[in-house]
Amino acid sequence: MLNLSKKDKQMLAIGLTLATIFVILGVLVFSYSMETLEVQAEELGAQESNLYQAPFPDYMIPGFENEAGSILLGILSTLAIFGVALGVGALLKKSKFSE
Amino acid sequence: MHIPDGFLSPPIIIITFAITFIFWAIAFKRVGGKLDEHKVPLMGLLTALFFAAQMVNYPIIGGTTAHLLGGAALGIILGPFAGGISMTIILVLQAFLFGDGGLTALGANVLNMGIIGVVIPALLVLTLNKITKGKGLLIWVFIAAFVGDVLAAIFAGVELGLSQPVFQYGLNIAVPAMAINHSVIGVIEGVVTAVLIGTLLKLRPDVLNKSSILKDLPTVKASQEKKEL
Repeated sequence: MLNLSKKDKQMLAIGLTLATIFVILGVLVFSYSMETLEVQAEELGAQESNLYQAPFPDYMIPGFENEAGSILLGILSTLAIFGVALGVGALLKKSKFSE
Repeated sequence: MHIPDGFLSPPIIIITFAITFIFWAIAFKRVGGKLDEHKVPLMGLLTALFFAAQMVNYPIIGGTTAHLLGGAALGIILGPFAGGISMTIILVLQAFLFGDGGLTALGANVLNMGIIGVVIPALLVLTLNKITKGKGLLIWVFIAAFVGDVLAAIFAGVELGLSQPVFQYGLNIAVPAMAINHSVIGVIEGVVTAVLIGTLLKLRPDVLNKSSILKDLPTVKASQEKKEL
């Protein structure tokens, strides 16, 4: 179990609130994406191919392609990534990877 | 800066995955069993925060958009190896869940954003602080984040330029094209990273004092002592 001080709990709360704000801004205001790398690579002759169909392409829930769905998906994904990183961190802390 | 499937040639895919696997082996060995208890929640938080921050696409020159990477911040706060693992978690989940970055390009994306974009800024801050004894910390952080972003873009340019015949053009076109536009992104990354480190320096210097990059730096220690008074 995590042994968190009051200050650490505060930092987690502020950080996760900030992450939620990023998700909402990313969906509602700054969602248009035309990545420099992709544009330039395509100008230079490369073509994207779809080798794999991701379950949530373009950060949308299939069949529920609206802003509310994307915000929900973004927040749940952020929490999932928080959980995965905590899990990896906890594994590394008592790791068997070291010599 | 996520390279999708179809942009890289098979030799580049193999080489970038090989480098990435070597990095992971070293990183897990270096961090394994040595991760500070307080760094576990911090690793979770920063990984989630920069995943969310990468969803914000801001407009830059020529109608294109960019987003924060967060590599420099992860490297400086968590250390280059834990930071690299953290960025890897983001990139793997983005590729598998959202198709953001190709699966065949995952090795290249981890190399560019999770190794170059994390390790180089961390080592740069460490070196510059050693030379200057920590004076001008936030300037070094800005420079390191800028360099990290531009170098990551240059590496992407090299991988694309060497991926002939997928590309019609070679390194002489691909590398400058990537570097020039990504220098704008680098400036924004530098400012945001410096603001984040500056905020932590004021509010939570103890967090920075646990970083292998900033530990025992006079600026950080002085800020922590002031905070404890």
